[in-house]
Order: sequence, then C-alpha cells, then structure tokens
Amino acid sequence: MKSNSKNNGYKSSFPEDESLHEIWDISGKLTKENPVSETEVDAAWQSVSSKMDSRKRSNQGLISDKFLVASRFMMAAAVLLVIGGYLYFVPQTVTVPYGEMASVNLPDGSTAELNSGSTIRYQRFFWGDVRSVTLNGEAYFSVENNADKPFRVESNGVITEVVGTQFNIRSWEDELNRETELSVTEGEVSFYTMGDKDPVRVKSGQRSSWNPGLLHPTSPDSISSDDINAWRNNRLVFHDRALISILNDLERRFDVRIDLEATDLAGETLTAYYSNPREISVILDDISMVKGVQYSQTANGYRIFKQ
Amino acid sequence: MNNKNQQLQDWASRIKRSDHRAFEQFFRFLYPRLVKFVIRYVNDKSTASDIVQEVFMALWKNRSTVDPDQSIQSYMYRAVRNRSLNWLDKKANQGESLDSITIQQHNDEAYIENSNGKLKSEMEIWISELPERQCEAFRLSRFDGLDHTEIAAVMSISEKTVNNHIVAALKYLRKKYDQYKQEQES
Repeated sequence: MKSNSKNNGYKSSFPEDESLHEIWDISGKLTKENPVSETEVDAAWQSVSSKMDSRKRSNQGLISDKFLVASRFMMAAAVLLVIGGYLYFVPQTVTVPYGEMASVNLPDGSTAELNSGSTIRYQRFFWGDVRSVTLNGEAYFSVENNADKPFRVESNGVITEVVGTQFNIRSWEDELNRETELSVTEGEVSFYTMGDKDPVRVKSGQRSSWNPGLLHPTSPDSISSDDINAWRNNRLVFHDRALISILNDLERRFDVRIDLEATDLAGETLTAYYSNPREISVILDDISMVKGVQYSQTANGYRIFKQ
Repeated sequence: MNNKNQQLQDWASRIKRSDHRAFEQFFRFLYPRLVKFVIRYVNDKSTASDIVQEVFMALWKNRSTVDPDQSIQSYMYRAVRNRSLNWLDKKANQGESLDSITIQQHNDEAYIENSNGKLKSEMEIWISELPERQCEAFRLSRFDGLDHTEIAAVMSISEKTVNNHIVAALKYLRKKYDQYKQEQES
C-alpha cells in the first residue's frame, strides 16, 4: 500500500529516477523552519478579522478551532519547556507537544531534533566525565566532537555512547516491548545495556535494536539513510510494524486519540510509506482497506472497529 | 484528488458562503506559508506580512466571486506574487536600489537554523544559485507543497514546463550534492 503518489507531485511524475528522489528528500531538510511564529499568525489574524465586517461575527467556537488548526497545521517548533527551577543542578526537561516537532540545542553545542510527543532530559551544564541525556521517544542527535567527554543517551535501560557523530534513537516507554532502535547516519556508536558493558559497535548506515527480553543488542544490519531521515522530512515509513505501534505514531503525529476496538489486530503488521501526509484519514483509509476494518470519527479522534 | 485539496475546496465553498470559521482556518493554514513565500521576493518580513494580509482582506471582500472548482491555493499564491512584483516595480521606480529577485532570494538563509549544519546551509545556497524560474518552481513544489497544476497557474506556464524546471533544478542540486560528498570524503 504505497500511497506517496497521492501527496507528491514530483515523485509521481518521475517514479523511475532514484537519484533525483534522494536529492528531493535531502533538500526537504530545509522545510521545517518558517519565519512566522504562531504568535505572529495570531496577531495577523486579529488585525485582519478586526477589519472584516463585524456584524455577522460570532465569537463562539472560534477558540477551539483556533487551537485545533494551529496545532495540526503548524510544524513550527513550539517547545514546551518544563523547567524545574533555574538551578544548575536541576535537570532540564523538554517535551514536544503532539502534532509538532522541535529542535533542542544542548549545552555542548550538540543538537537533538525531537519527534512529536518525545521527552528529553539533560543537565543545564554537562559536568563530570560524560555528557548525559535521557530520552523517551524519538530523536535525531547531531553530536559535537569531544573525545575527552563521551556523549551518552539512556533510553529504556540501554545506553548509546558516542564521541561525536549523528544518529537516530527511537525508544518509547509506552511501546509494548519497550524496544530501543538505534540507527547511525555518520561515524560509529557504542550501544550497550546497563547490566552488560560489552558494546555493540554500530556504524554509519547500520541499525541495531534492543529490548529488555534480549541479552545483547542485535547485531547491526543495514538501513537506508532515507528511512532514518524519514520522520524529520515529514514522512512516515512503516516496515513490518505492528498496527498498534503505527497507531501510536499516528496519535503523536496528528495529535489525535485512536481507539483500536478490533483489539485482535493489534499485533498484525503492516508495511506502508507516506511522504508528507497532511490528513490522517488518508492513512486510516488504507489501514481499513488492507485490514478489513472500518473507522469513524469520535469527539477527540477516531475509533477503528470491525463491522 | 487528495485530502488536502478536498480541505481547500471545502474552505473555498464555505468562504464563498461567508463562513467566518472557514476563513479563519484557511487564514491560519496559509498565512505563514504565504509570508515565507513573499519574503523571497520583497526581502522584508513586515512588507511581506502587509502584502499577505491585504490579499486575505481582498479575498474576503470578493468572496462571492470565489470559484470552489479552481484551486484557491494557487489563486492566493498568484495574488501575493503579483502584489509582490508590483511592490518591487514601485520600489524600483522610486529609485531605491533593486538588483533582481534572484539576488534577494539569498536572504532566506537568515532563517535557516543551524540544526543540520553545513549541508543545510550549502543546500540553501545551491537552491539560490538556480536560475530564477527553476528556483521559483522548485520552491513552490518542494517547500510550499503545490502540485504541478497549481504551480502552472501561479507562474502562468504549462505543466510540462513546470516539470522541466523542477527536474532541471533537481539535476543541478544532485550534481552539487555529489561534489559536496566527494569534498567531505577527501
């Protein structure tokens, strides 16, 4: 169920030329920034609506629409900062709201791009021997080189340790098997569990994963940079992913609630690929068709059921 | 027809019927995109904001003439583009310095944050090096999410030409990117 043709004028015109597809995807890294903040949109809307005819205006219902539309359509990096005080010793926590993405600058100059719903914790100043970060969710790290002070990410009981490189970690505490998946786009990364310090070395273009049921992280296999970069380019890529895990992703991405009433389908896997889907219904249509289910809208999202 | 287009068409017909809420939703959806788009021409954010707000005002005023079967999105891009070009003409006639649109496009860089580092800023420079029309078509396609039909309407050219521009742009970027990769490796 490939559905990229629905959303992508260029790619559907030239399905044959892979090298141009790649540059198309790479150039998309520029798309996230918009110079116009939500506050400015608010102000502009106030200004325009005050000049519109005022007689027919009913303010009722405007508020809820405003939030709905703003959060759904603007990928502007609105960051919810929850700071437990300004003390140096209190870790800083950044949580990205559902439906949005954000980029966080870390104290050493490294950056973390966070997918919707992800939380990262770090010290305001990296002191001690390591640069230590905790992650729940999905993030792409670009780490500044510092051989004297390793950069260490802890997630779901597994450690990713680097000197300076770029890599993606996906590790949700609420996923069923609490799996952590590490994919590296540049350099080499050490990946080891807390109990067992024998690291798996993951190199550029490789992926390894670990969950609490495994003794060691899996031996690295190869992964395309396209797939690693997918979420940051607003694409959704599911390779043999459990339906329930896909629905979790959709909830975070589109800021909706999805109830899977056909619970026996939770573990069924799907492979699907979407470039820049703007409407969740496109994806739910496909899921319904492939899995023989139906969906309908609820007050705050969707329910998926069998007839 | 995809869902985005259905949404736009829905907004268009509701705006035609003087639906304020649809107009606000449409405004919030398109305003930031249009401002970003206009900055490429006028090189100044507050001018860009003014131009886009004027066009939205004009849309509301003339809402009865909206045709939901035509893309309201390409209508808006075309309208702000025309106003931007008029504004540039006026500015040029007033004797202020005006090199060309192509040169002004470089200033998008100021808004590119340094999260993916060098490649990102290199990419922005390569895009700005593209011939003017290629650059315009490529940006509308890649960054504004318009389809070929819409771009053809905005730029007043055929869809085939839109295609050619975009493929030529991608080939150029591909060449630059391959060179860049080689430099990084050596």
